[in-house]
Amino acid sequence: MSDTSSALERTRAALAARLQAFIAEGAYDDSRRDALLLDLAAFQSERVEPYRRLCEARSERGEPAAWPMALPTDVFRYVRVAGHPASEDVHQFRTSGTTNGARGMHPFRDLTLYDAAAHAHARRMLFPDVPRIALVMLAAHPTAVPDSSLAYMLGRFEAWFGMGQTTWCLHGDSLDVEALRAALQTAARAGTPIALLGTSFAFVFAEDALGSQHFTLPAGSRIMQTGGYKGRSREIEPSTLRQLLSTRYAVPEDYIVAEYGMTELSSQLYEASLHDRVSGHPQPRRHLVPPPWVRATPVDPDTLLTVPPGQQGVLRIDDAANLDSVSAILTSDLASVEVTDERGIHLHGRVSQATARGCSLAVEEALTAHGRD
Amino acid sequence: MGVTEASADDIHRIATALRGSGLRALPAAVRIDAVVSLAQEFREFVDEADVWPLAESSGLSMEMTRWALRTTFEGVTPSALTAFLSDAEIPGHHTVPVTLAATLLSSNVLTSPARALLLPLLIGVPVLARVSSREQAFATLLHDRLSHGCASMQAISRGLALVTIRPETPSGAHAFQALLSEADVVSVYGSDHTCTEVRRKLPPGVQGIEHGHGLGVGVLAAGANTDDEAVDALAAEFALDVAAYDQRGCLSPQVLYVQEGGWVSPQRFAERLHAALGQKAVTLPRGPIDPQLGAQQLQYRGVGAALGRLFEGDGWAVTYEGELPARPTPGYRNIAVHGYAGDAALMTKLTAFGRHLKVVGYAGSEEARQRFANNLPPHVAPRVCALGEMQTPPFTCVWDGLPAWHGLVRYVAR
Repeated sequence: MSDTSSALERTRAALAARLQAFIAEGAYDDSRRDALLLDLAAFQSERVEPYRRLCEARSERGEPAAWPMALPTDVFRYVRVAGHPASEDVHQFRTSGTTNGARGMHPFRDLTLYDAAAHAHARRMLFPDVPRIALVMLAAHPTAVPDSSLAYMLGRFEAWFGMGQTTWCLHGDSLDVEALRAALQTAARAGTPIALLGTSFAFVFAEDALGSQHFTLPAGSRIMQTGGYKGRSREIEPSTLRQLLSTRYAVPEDYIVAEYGMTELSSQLYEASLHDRVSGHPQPRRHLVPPPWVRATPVDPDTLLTVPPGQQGVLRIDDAANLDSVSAILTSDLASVEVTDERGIHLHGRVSQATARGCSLAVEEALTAHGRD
Repeated sequence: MGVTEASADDIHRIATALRGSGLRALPAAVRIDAVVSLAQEFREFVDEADVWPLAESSGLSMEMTRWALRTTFEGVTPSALTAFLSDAEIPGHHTVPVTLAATLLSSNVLTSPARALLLPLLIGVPVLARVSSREQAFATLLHDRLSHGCASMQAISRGLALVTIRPETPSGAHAFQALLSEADVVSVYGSDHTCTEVRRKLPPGVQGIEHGHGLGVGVLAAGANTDDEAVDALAAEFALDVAAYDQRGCLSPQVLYVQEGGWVSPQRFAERLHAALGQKAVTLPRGPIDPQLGAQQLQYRGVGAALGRLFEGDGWAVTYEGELPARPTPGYRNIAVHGYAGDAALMTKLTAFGRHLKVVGYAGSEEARQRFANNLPPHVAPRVCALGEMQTPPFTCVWDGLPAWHGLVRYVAR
């Protein structure tokens, strides 16, 4: 190993240790977070080739360097984004399939940080009041889709938070309605709360399949739904879906939480409502809250500067848990913040590739929005 | 002033009125005079109060809006229009205009209704046009100016009607079908999806003329890349092609192919193009960009930087991406430069664009363009022009491989 690479390895180990400590402590400290993000970006701009190129291009333009450059998520579809060789990958997560075959890939050299990040924030936002709970997954099992970051995360949830036998109800695009029905009925009879976790489209499948049948899930039951529809089901407005789920399963709306995650990230954001309800907040909020080591910021697409509260911008996420790829990520989602001192963001949807592209659609090989399976 | 939403009954009534408008009986000289007069009016259309509504509705800057008006109507002269009408004739036959054209307008290029509405009127065919719900300003203004213009303009204005239809509603669907049924010929400007939908709904016997999605490509062969002076001139010309209409039209270039082995390398040319686009940003500024398109632009540029080189300015960007496959751009003056080794490689790249390739801006002499056109692969039939002329085709020129009178006239043997 050369002096340079061993120095980089030492830097990496030091950054990983700082992050581990930050995650373990779990307290919000923006200056500590920002310092860590800056150090990470400096490290990654030396180590991750496409990021180095982006930083070089932007610095040539004279971009203000108060914040590190953010790498657009599309880059994951075209080139490998990693600071280590493929031979050292322990796992690769891939974005949803697209018709032209270009799927984004996020390689991991180590899943320790991913696990720590996912565990800590899910504990805070989704399971703050129960050590373990019976889980019903409206999602595919990780063995069926090993390259899905969502399936991986839910698999870890089973180990960390699950109680008894977890029911997995989605096989490919097919919902096992009988398994779902049985799990719901068992929970209702036993009076044991459950957590229903899955993709938005799978919940829509369930809505369609369950017809007029309703369930009264025990108090403390909760629902986490995530992701877009990706054309797999009809689309339902988030507030409407929440009402439908609340009615269907007799789960209070505050206990229905949206999760925001992406293949290109290692951390997740959750709606605050359940956390707020459990912690006695007078008015549980709907904004998406990042964990302490993540900064979520809507930025102006031209200047890349933070947009004022109330104004929509392109969502930039700086995820310190992305140690071996790039922490500063520019998504295709639009978001806003309501007031300056609020940590959370409000999502306004993903940019449609078809929006006003006019004739450039001719060259489009039916690219679909990337996301997380 | 908005355009009225029409019911099926309205469509039948309007179509009847258009057929009885007397347009077909107007002498050609009157129709030519009307179009020339309107064109002159638009070319001289510089007052801020007049231009502002068009700029606002199209999202183009004031300067670009003025440029679009001027260049669209450039060359609309009595002799050019007379020649166009003569070209439509065939020996030993009378040329008879059809009774009604339905035109479905799109919204991506400000001045696209000009040609779509005026050429049928020039030929003597009444036009019932469905305007885009998103972009009505130019078509409405055109109709308004005709209606309040000189005697010849007023005469042909009686052969033009604009409506909106919302085919997603039951009554709108009925009205849309009525529109298709009334016409002898239906011209569709819009997405490939729209064209397919209209084709599916066309009644038997009604001719459809489709102007679906398209794109342009620039080509700089080594033979034209000869010295610094030539390079700067070509960069300036191609920068105009990119900047025009903020790269939102069917003739807008999506990529520039630069042959290896010329005076400057493809990457160096990308840098020169970047500089030229900077100059265009001063004389023809880009319009505002909304957050959604801004997000697409960021993704596009970021990938460009990661794959090759990114040269970025305030309101434009050039990427150099070697010999990688072309990527779709979000428009708004974001263009990629790719290298190519020789003609065979270039033709392979062009083949991939198929029928969508509507124009190729080719740097070089007229003879060089001829040679290039002769070598084009099958299923590719773009208009081939010089760099700097991609977005300014003659008013009466061939479109999508068809002459502008296609479907608008019948021939009766003498």
